[in-house]
Amino acid sequence: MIPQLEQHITGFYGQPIVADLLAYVPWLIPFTETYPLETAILLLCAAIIIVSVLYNLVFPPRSKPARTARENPLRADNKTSRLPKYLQRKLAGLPHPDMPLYDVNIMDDIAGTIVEAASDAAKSESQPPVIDTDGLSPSARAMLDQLRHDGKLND
Amino acid sequence: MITFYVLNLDPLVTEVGQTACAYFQNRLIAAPDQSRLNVDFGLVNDPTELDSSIRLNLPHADAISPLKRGIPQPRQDFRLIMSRKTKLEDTILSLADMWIHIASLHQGRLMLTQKPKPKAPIIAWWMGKKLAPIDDIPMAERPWEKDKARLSPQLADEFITRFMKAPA
Repeated sequence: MIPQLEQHITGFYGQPIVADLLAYVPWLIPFTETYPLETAILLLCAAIIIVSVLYNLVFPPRSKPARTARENPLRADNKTSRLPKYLQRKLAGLPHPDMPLYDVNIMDDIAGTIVEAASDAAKSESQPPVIDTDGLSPSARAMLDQLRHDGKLND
Repeated sequence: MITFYVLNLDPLVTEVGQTACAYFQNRLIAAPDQSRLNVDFGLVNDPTELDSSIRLNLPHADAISPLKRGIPQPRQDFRLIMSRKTKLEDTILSLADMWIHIASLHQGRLMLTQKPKPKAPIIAWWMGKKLAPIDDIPMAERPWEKDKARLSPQLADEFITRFMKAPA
């Protein structure tokens, strides 16, 4: 079967369509007459590899961290070593004062600072705050108490 | 002013969420500045019930600062929708995350700008200083993410501790 296949493939050169195609690149005709098909395929692969390498050298792909960040910022690579030097310098010299935190008096009507809107967007009229002036209803407070006792948050 | 929206949310979670929003706002935004701040805050039970065009949380594109003579100004208006988490503590933590981000943008610590061109990168400014396209800055190096990582658990814990106590 293999010799038959080889014969069939080698016969490819003799096909009319190949002859038509070769008419566009006449300088290839002596090559096809001289070398077997395997050599042509090997040379074609080598040419593709060389062209890809050259293309990547001339047009380097964007760096992986930047590409990943564009696709999904949360998965951005955190390694600073790949950062451009100008950005490393900028980040190193950044001022970073603590974010101010203000005192809150829970006995104030804290819920009065926000407005609860109806869940239906069509009924978007503002409603008065629903939370009592002590902060939370006993049931909500109990839920938080349970959460605290379960130790889910930082203790 | 904060307007709080909910969609198919458990009443208790709604109550906790609304109070947490008010608490985080009071903790992070100075009282005199609160009148300038407008936040439409949505908390939904199931984000698949929303239109697919709606983006959750506060994507960078929705947090662009207005420009005045080419200089970015702190942003005062925010519209965001957040999905509740499976665990209540995670919901509270996420609310704290959002509020730290809002406070950062409102105070002008963080500002984002984008030229009105298609595919123009979003540029991050920190404390009035232009940094770089935000996507080029790794998460661990972003000062506003450091704020979030440091303060968010503290605020969430504080909220639970303070509000679980019965009023005096």
